[in-house]
Amino acid sequence: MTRKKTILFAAVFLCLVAGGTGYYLYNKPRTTAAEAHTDDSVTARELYGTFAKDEKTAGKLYENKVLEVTGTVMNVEQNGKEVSVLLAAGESDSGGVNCSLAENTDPLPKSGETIRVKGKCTGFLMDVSLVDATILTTK
Amino acid sequence: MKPMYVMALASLLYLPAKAQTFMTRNGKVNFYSKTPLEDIKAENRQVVAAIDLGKKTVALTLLQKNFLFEKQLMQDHYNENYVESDKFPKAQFTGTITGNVGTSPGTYKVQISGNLTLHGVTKPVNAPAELEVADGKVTGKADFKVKPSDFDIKIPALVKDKIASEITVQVLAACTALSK
Repeated sequence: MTRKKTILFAAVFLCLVAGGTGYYLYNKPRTTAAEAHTDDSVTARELYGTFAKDEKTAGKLYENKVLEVTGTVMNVEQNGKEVSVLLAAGESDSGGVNCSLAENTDPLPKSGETIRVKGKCTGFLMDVSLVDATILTTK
Repeated sequence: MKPMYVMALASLLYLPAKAQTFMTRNGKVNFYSKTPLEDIKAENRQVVAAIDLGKKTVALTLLQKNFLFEKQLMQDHYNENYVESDKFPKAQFTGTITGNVGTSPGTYKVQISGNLTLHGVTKPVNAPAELEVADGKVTGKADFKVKPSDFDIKIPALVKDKIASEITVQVLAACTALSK
């Protein structure tokens, strides 16, 4: 009888642990890039250049990675609380690294400033995309 | 090497009447799934959009991985199991504008018709839209519904009750005039 009770107790306990783990994982908030470990550091010029040259190879190197990207601010766009910063790829390219900031930042970076941004690289459209981004330093 | 969709966008953008061509790289597409069991919302803030008022055309392209969800597991499932982002990384829409739209400031109610390519499947989409023309800027807004099953997106039976059979898609693109 005692053995049966122990087994029953263990089974119920395991079910509760499994259910609790499942519930936690299901409801776990999205991990933002700011919280994640940096996988690689690169300049905006190098990052854009690698994607523009060969998107597939660049994808294997950088996509889904949390990057720290250093570059010169080409444009800052603010829509309400949402801020996007475009880092220049170089003088001759109209594209760059488009960074969607996770949170509003004050003060906003200015065109021509050199900044270091941490964010998740998601691929390449006109620009290299960096989402969930945070500005680490401004020079 | 520039991909095909960039060339398609470029061909739309660099035709004559450049003063009537507007674009943004920070357009927004949100989608919502509402069921009694769960509400799901995702947001993509890096949509490349181009509106040509002269030719009355519109083009949008986006990266699936730029959709951000509140819950990590939902985002993982969306990319890995539903839209298969590694296989089909981009979604795009090209269409035409029907209705009266001028270059003078004002809000114009129009109809957008075109083709949406998602998960490797192309389907026609028609939706009412609003174009707000202001000085040097055109803001496009549209809402439409998409059925995942139309785009060969398979939802497992286990979560079928948590995902709506029709997803509401909201587009907001504040485009500025091309300077060239």
